[in-house]
Amino acid sequence: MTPTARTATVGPVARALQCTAAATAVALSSALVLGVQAGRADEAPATASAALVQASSSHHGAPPAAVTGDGPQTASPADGPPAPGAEAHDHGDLEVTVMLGADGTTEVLGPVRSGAFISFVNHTPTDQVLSTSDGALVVEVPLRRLVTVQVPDAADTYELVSSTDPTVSADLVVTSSDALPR
Amino acid sequence: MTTFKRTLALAAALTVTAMPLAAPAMASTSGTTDLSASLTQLNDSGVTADVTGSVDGNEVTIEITPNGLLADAPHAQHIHIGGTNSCPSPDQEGSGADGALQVTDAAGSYGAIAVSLTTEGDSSADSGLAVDRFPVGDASYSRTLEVSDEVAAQIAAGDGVVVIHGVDLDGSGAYDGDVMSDLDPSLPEEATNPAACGTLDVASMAMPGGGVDTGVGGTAGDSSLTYVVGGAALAAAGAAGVVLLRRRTAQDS
Repeated sequence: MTPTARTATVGPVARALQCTAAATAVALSSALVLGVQAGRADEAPATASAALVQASSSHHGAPPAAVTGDGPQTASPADGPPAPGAEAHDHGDLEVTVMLGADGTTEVLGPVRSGAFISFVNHTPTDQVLSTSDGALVVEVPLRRLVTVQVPDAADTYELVSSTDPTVSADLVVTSSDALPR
Repeated sequence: MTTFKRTLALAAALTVTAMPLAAPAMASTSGTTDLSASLTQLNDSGVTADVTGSVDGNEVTIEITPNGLLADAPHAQHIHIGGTNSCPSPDQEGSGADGALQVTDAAGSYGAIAVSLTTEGDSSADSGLAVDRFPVGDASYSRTLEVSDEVAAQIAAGDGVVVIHGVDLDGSGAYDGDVMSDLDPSLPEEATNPAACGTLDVASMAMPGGGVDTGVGGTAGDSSLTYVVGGAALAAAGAAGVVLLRRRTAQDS
């Protein structure tokens, strides 16, 4: 058998397909090599993730002490100097609609939609009960609780005052659902 | 069978064999990666949730249908990335009351907050405790969020873990109790303890006609393995085809 004989037997279309098959084999072999390299590359993020966990552990790693005291706990993990990698495990500051502050001030995030659920946190020294003068809205806000209530459907400004400490108050503005951008 | 027919048959066989390998490549070049997760309970919460979504460039779309969450209470929910990109064992105990699993107890499994699945406004990790911007009770959730290139790539690689928080450990119907949260000491742990967790897997692609599952789902490691094994098999098939063709061509001559 000679190369000339083979050329005479195999037609041009079949030869083209053979060449295509050979090229495919080469391409797939290259893909195999790239796949192996990609697999090695995937190991790098895993290592980075492990480092992240280690860094995160340094931020929150030690089991937090259970807080069972009677007084309000106002310290936040964000208050201290951040540990290395703390940014990577950031959860932000606590954000609730009404925060009764330890210094007697009350922070209200802003207007809320009618019928919305809003939350209260009490940082004052004692339990509080906030209510409007007409009793349309009454919210008990004990210490160490996350209190969530549904605001009335009626759009209005609800002036909430504590029955135990009149200096603790909050003006809650309830608007129609269409009035606030989402 | 003529040489031409044999060649055609081999080429067809090679093409069919190559399709499973080509499918993930086609998926990755289409620009959209589909996601899914099935969340199961932590802290004996009884909570489950189905999650679907997608990643398209920097946009991540997430839809969550939960079941069993404490009613009329907000439930923080996040995509976590890091650790082993996995969920802790459902029966894993932690540093909370009576061994309750707190958020950071499982950080080694699901890592840190990458995306806060808020209902409005900011969705970065900074909003991880934006209590009133999370869904209430079993409300369904659907939102498209913009994330960084890095986070989008990690989620598309199957590294995301969805965690829903808020467990009524004592059955009081509210977030209370004497043990406070490991995230913010002014909150009871019930408000932040994880209630359900599930890995945000890259959705598998079914081949047309319901034939072959390409097995794209799972972690980045699984995906790489698919490429390596598929590439090896196809390279071998291609080489075998060439050798066989040449042998038969020689016999014909």
